[in-house]
Amino acid sequence: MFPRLLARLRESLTQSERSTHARDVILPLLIISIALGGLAWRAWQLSRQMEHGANTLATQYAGYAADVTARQLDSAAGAELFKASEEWQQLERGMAKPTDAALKSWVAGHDWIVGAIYVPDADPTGSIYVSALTPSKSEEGLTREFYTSGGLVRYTYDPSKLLAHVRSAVRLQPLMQSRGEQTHAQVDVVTKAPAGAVRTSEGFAFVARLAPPLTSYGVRAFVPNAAGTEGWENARRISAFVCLVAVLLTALGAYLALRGLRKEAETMKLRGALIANVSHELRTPLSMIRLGAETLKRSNKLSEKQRVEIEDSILREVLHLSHLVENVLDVARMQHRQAKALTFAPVYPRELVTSVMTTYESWIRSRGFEVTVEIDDPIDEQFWDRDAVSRALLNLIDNAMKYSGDVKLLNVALRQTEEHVVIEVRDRGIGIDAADLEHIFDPYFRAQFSDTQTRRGAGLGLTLVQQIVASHGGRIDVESSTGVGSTFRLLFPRGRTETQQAVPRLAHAPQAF
Amino acid sequence: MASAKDPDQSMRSRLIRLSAVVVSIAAVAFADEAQKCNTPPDECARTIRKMLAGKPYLGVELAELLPGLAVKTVVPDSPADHGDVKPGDRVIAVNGHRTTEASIKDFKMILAEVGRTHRHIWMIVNRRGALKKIDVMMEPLTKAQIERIVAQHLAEAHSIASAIPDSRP
Repeated sequence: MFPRLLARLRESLTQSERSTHARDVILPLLIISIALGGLAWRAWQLSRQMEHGANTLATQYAGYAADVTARQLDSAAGAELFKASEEWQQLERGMAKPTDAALKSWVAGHDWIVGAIYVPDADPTGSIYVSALTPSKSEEGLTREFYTSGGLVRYTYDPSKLLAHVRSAVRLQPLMQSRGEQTHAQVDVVTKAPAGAVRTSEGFAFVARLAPPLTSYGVRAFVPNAAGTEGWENARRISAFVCLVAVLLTALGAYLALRGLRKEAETMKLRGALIANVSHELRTPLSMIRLGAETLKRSNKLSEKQRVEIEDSILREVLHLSHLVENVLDVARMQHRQAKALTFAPVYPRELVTSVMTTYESWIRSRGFEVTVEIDDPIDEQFWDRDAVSRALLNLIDNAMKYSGDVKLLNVALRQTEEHVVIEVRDRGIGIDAADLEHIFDPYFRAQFSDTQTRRGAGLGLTLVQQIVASHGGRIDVESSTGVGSTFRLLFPRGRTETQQAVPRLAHAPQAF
Repeated sequence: MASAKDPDQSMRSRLIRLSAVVVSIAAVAFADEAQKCNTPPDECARTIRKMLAGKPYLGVELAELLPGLAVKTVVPDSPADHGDVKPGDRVIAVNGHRTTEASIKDFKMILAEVGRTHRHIWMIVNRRGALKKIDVMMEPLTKAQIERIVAQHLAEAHSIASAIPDSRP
């Protein structure tokens, strides 16, 4: 998909017609998109790095707190052991031979000692043993020993009691000092936890083992998430989404701008065609008129018949010219909403159609067409602009004659349905290609026929018809198939007698005038 | 009863027996004070055996001469006795560590250090002006010795006199 997109892009860049526009629009879009993408990617990376850093910091802090606390406990325990041995040696020095009672008092003085045995150097069999009153059943006592000048003291102790003794050494470790606000790690003493860092959903924990004599314990420090990284992932997702939306909006804007430019380019093309058409259209009748007038002036030998012919042709061409100019001016006016306000007045549709047909019948017949007119009876009086509707009908008839084939038959009908008054013009002409149907009301559009140039017109007729019908609140139906013929139906709503509708502006009005 | 070879020992055991009798009398007289050890006797015995079993000992009592160390007494039939350590020997060096200015504590630290890996002690002593090298293998207390200690404790702290074994055969 991407290579195809690139190919199209290159194509549109190299296309001579729109190349500058495309370059003007697509290049900034590309630059903006790439820049946005780059920024987003960099922000994402930075955010990840920050998160990683913050996590590491929190973990390291937990480790630090656990370690420091563990060392404090260790040294407190060591100090306790040392104090006990010093006390015993003090006792021993004060007497010639250590007695049972002395040892007992020493043991009693340290509640964490479960039992002690004193082995004198002079006589090992004279050892004395003292057991504490309440040995711990739950925990197997551990043994330590120390030497004195007269012998050896070996004692068992209860680590849990020793721990209780030194527990007061545990203090909370401040995390960091920032604006007077202190965060603490939560420090606990745990029994059976593997040493090392653990990441939980609530925060970061680190367990440090204690050294002898408290080896069965560890210190667990916990740093809650609030000090670390909560919600980074969501923030990243949101910013990525926002970036995506920005890119999409940019793309949409570029697309709209490109479309507008393309439309404008098309309009320019049409306007060029119009100038060619109109100048051609204007020149042809003018040259005919000039030719006729010059003939009349120079030749005196013209028969009466010839003279009348020439006069007729001049008249016809003038009529055509004025019709053409009228069309151009009307479309222009309507597009600019400065329409000479349509003058709505009560009109009998029957009378209108009849008068148009009567006026132009001879002209139509002179082109070799047969016309049939069907008019329903009765048809209500309508509130129309008489001139406008006449011109619409005339334009339809003109079109029908212009695009007719060999079968030169026209059918004009006036009907009344429940909701509409319908004026219908049908021909047996070449028809309209289905692809062109949606464009036929665009200004200056002319269906592409091999012989378009031989048919006269500026491509404004149907535009004008549509505007007239729309300003009466009606619409146009077209039925057409190539080679069979076309039927145009003007549907005017019935009974509109009061309100006058503003002339709608053309949806795709080119600013041609 | 008392062997001629070991007058001290027999004297001590006699004393112990006497004190045991005294203690048991006292236990009857002052029931609350005499019961020195509240732990069950078998628990005490077990703990004592556990604490003493396999622990090496040398069997010399030292005196600090400031500076230097001298052998004050040698426990009869102890590893030191077997290694020919005599009372009055000045200890010059132990396992390569000079002890001419050491304290008893230093000496015992060296012993503990050695005892962690092996039990061979060699000492250089000054015996009446002559230097002498003495090799000693430290040994654990014998089972009989440990039982003696246990019995002694039971007799003294639990008023169980029957368990005291007589002096060795």
